[in-house]
Amino acid sequence: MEFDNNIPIYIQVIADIKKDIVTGVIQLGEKLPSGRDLALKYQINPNTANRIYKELEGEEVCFTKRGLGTYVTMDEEKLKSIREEMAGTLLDNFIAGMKDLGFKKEEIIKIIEVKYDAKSF
Amino acid sequence: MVLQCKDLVKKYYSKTAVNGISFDIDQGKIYALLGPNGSGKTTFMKIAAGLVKPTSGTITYKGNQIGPVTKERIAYMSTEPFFYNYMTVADVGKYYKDFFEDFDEKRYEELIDRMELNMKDKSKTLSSGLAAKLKIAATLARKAELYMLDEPLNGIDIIARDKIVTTILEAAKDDVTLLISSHLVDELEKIIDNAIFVKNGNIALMGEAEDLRVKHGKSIVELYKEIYA
Amino acid sequence: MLKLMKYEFRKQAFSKMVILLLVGLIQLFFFFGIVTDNNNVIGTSMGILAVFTFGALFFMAFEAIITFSNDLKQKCSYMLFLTPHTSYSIVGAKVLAAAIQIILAGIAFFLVYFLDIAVLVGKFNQLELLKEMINQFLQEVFSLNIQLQDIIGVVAVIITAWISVITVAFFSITLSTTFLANFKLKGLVSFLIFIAINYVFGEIVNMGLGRVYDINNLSNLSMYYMLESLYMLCFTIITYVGTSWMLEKKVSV
Repeated sequence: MEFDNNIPIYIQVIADIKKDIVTGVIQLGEKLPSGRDLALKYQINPNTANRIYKELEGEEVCFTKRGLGTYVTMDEEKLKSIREEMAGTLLDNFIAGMKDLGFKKEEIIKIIEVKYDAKSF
Repeated sequence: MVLQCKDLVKKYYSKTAVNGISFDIDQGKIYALLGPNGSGKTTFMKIAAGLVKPTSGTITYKGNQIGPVTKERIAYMSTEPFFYNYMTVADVGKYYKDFFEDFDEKRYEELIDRMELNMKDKSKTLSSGLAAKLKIAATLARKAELYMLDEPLNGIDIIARDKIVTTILEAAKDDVTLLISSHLVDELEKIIDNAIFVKNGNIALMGEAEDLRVKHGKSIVELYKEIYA
Repeated sequence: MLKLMKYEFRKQAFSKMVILLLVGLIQLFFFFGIVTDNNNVIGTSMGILAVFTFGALFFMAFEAIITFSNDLKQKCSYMLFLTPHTSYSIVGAKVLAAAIQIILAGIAFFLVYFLDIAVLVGKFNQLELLKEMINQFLQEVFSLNIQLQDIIGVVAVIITAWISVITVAFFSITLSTTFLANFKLKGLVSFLIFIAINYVFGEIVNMGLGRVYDINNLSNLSMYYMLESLYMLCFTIITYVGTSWMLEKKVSV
């Protein structure tokens, strides 16, 4: 994974894990790699990897079973809220960018409709 | 604290390589020792490895003076290849096994495989990239408490860098400390806990990487450019 | 310490193989002369062997010194000084390895000469005469104790003197890379120190033993040899301890 040095690494990895959960690469309830293995997977500092799990636990995206490891939450609602949160972030950035370019709300909606139909996503 | 140094000075004939460095290194963390060539990184590491005696100042590892006791626990890898010309890759392993109780032969074989080296290769005839990989394999096959790697990515092509970084990260454990020097700051940015910027034999800036980023609003790479510009 | 010595031998093994090979070739030449009854070939090969013996012994001392110098000045010095050993062990292994090699080479050359002389005697005299000569030689050695002592004495002096030259060289080289590291012309200075120390040691032997040595009274010759070896041994110990101490205090590789 390519990192952007201007954004803290743990935030980038958290976003990547959340994306994997939303897209189903990681299933709900699935066991996540250990802190050390996560560090190796992303080639990041092991202490940063531990911090990532701590943050994800704080957000209740995952939980730790003592002595067994870290697991993704079983809560479907959580999945939905992550999905919405990520969409929200994207939209916020998009709308802010379009506003900067001087687009109005109606123009933005229209341009989305045209673009979306023109491209076969 | 594992490594403690105070007012460390090393003078050479024409210049002062280390000019009054004082700092402590904590256990279980990965430190980057950053700075351009000639800033004193290598001399500092050689002092801690026991290859060079400081002109003045003190340095201890877990309270011990640098000597046979600390050499058993600290694994140092220099920038330049340092194996005897007659040695094959297998000979290097035997040498380490003969002298270091913490040397793990199995791990060495594994790393030699990973680095695509051959046990029968002569160290003298290796390309610079392979020679660099051999140094890393031999050093990281030790189960040391403190690893000091001087420019581990020097001579390593971009494709192989991930392998080296993975191997370095595999050595990192709660009770293991790493001190890595490099001028390829970008490669270290994401794997370090702490950064030490060395300039003209002195410390220009040091601290936890995350704190430094927040405090200065810049990445370590940008800080590096700012300090040495 | 034994492991350090093992690698000292290993570093210098190649030249020993070459020396052995060359001695073998000279011997082949010699036996070719014996078989073909060619006195010229026999004479030439013996001459070459004599010159080669001196050359080889000089080279071995030279190689011990060069190896030491490389182990302080080249990158492979890291290999040696990263090992968890004190300078006393590291230098000690080098001194012992050099001593053992010189003694072993001495014995090997002695055996070669012994063989060649025996063959020569056997060839040019009758076999009976050879037997007689060996018997006589053994008798003389055992009946005249002084002679045996003298032989041992001479050998002891040669070996100890040789080793002390090597350790003086170690001392001088170490001086130039530690306490004199910040001087210009340190190489020249260390060479001059090498000459000076050898001169001083020679003077000490003269002063200490001048009275013992009496050309008119050869009975105390063996005593002289023994004392001289003891002096040489002391010089070796002094320079060995000095070398190790300097490295312990000021090592910089």
